[in-house]
Amino acid sequence: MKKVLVVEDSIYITRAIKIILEKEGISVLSTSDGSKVVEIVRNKGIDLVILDLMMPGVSGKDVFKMLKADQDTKNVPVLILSARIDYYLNDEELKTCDKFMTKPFDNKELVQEVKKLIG
Amino acid sequence: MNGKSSHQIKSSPHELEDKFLRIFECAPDGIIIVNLKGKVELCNQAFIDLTGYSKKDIVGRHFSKLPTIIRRDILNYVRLFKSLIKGKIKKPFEFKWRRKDGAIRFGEIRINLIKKDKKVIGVQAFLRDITERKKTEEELFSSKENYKLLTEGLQDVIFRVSTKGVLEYISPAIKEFGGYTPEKEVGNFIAKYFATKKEFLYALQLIKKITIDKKKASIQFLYKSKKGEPFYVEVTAKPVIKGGKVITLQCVMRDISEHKKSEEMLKESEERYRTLFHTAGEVVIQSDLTGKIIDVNKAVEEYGLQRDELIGKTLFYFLTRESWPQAKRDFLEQLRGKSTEGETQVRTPGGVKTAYYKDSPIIKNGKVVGVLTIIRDITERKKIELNLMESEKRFRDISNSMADWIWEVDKSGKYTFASGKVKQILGYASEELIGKKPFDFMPKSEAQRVKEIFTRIAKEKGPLIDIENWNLTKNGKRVCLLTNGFPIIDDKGSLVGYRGVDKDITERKMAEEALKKKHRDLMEKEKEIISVNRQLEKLNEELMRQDTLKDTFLSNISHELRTPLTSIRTYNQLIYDQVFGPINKKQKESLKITLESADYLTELISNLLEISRFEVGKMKMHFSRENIIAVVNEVIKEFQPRVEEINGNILVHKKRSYMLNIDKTRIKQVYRNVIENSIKYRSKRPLRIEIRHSKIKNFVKIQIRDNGIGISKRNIKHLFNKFYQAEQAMTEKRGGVGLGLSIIKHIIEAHKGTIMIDSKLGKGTTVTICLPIKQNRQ
Repeated sequence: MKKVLVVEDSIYITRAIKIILEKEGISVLSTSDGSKVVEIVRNKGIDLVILDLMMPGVSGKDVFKMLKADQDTKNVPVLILSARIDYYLNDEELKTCDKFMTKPFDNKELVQEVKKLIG
Repeated sequence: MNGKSSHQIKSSPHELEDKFLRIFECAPDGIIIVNLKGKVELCNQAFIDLTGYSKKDIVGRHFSKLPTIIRRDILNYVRLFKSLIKGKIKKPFEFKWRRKDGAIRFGEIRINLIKKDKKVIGVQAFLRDITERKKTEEELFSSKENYKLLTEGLQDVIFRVSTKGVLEYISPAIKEFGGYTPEKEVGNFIAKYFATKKEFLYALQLIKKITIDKKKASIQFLYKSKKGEPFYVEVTAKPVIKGGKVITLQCVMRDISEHKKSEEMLKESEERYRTLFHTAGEVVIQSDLTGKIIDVNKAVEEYGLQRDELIGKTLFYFLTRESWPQAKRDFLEQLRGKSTEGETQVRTPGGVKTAYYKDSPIIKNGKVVGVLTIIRDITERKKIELNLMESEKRFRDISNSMADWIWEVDKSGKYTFASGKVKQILGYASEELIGKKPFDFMPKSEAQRVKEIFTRIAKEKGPLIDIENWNLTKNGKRVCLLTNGFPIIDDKGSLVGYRGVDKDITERKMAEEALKKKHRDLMEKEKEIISVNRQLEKLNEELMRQDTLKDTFLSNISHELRTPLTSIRTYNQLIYDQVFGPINKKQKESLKITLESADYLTELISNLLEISRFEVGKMKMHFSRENIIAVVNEVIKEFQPRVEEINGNILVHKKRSYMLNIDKTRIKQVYRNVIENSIKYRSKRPLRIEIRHSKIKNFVKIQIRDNGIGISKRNIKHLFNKFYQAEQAMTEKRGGVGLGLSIIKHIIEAHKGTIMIDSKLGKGTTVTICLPIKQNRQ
């Protein structure tokens, strides 16, 4: 069973994603604390990180950097799911992510993209 | 002349009348003609000159009322006139008259009668001014008297002689005078004292005359001394009257041998003069007081004239008519004992010649008796002079035709010459400038300024170079002159004056001043602009700051809006997808509307943000070299499922690939937007979209054509307006997004390209985009 980590400060959105993906038979873990992401990914055997950019404390961009900087986590695909298209478009580093999706998103499209990334 | 005049009156044909009038007018003597009633009928120019009055004052008046007449003389004149018209001719007599200016003049008057058919019809009087002569005579007389007083008792012999010529008394001076003893001589007949019998007889006649006339007389004769030596003496005899009878003659005798000798010498010199007269190279004319030629020398033959021909004629005969007035004036001068000289025109058989003449009065015994005129042909010299005058005239013409005026000033700065051009520049005639200084035509302060400059330069005798000065014309107009001049230095090296040229540079100066003013204005404007610019910069900075704030605000707001929108959309979709259990058809339809509205709201928010970024220039473009065909194919691939779903078709005509510098994401957005619109505004026909790419000059032309509902002409021009929604779009369930086209226009323009929309209502729409092949990276 594939494991997806949702890094998101909005509990409503986290819950919605959980419902959408778990219905498809995908295990969903979540956190709103950016600083714990690398550790979770490393320890829990995460197959995909769904990352929000705007978060209190450690930002999504920092999380992305941390993931890519860590040997254990750098190969884990990252799907950025954010309302801040401008952040994505103006950041060359973020552009290297595996997929960018804007908020709001289409549930079916999300399932489609996640399935693509976790194989 | 008098006889002639009366003769002419007698015959009086017009020609003669004319001749008479000419002579009458030109006559040196003042002539006045009075009719029998005593009224003045005519007077000539000379009369006018002599009296100082005008003809108006004289002609038409009774002679006794003439303003020239001295009052106490009137009766005498009236008496004289009465005797005259009775035919009694009076000898010339002296008289006095009053000039208009009040001066009393002495004159000599000769009177003639004018007769017609042997009947007296008028009187003509000839007046001659003898004031000068009179004065000389008086002076001479008084000096003679003085001399007499001095010498009496020394050299003069005083004696008395009876009316019969017997010596009654003789002073002792006779002893020294002639060696006679006085006592022995008394009682002797005077005959023995005369060297010649002729003179003795004349003396006897004189004694007789004095006895009758009772008037003083004198005689000069050759006196015989006791030793028989003759010498000249002058005897003045004065009658001694007793009881109305001359009883004896009181006489004074004086030795005039010296005087006589000089007279002899005079005669000799007259001989010499005569020789000179006849042999002189120049024409010498001797004329009498009426202007009649008495003698002329042979030199006149050089003029082609004969001596005999001239003698007896008046001098006027010899001159051209134009020369008459001058000659007449000169003649009057000579009568007053003065010499004149000048130029005149001489009539000769060979044509008119210019001559220099010198007239001198011939004076005998203190009286003017005639005029000697020397005439020298100066025709050649005159020609040279004329040439000179011509060249001077040429200079004058040049100086007058020059735009500038030429001037000369003396040492004190006063104009001595100014060319005529000055009239056009300053409004003053040349003559008005003479004697004035250049500073007189300047405003006070300007005069002060220029005067200082001139004075400084003149002190060093330096040249005046380009001195600008403002002057006032006669009409008070301001004129700027550019003065240039050189000092005139005499032989001794001292400054005589300046000569130069003044140029009118008012227009230039005005233009210069206008330019200067404009320059000043511009400088001020520039300052203003700089200060405005600074303000603008500040404002801009502020705006930038505001824009950044706005952008940040919009970005944040957008995010804040999207976050709840995400929840709305996601949960709605979960219900719609019946994740939480089945829903009925109505519920599903309602949720579909909610979802679509959420999507529309999302699009609206993102477009608003984008347009705001383009407008504030915050939109960042990321250019890369891309094959436009590959880009369009990627977009079409995205749309394929949807297009197939509606039974549509997108056709890309592929001929070749075009490499362009583009922001791939943005250009994709453009294709997407256009295709999206085609889908959105499709007609009931199956949708067909054709995309063509072609190269036109330096552009790649992208043409996207659909067979949709089309846009009306009225709406097409509003397409790129923000928030514009075509009315057709309003009829759709889902509202159109005017912001979409605005954004793609911004994107194309950021690529330095163009976008055009052509449409026919009901037929379809064509969007034409041109992107430059060579495009600078931004």
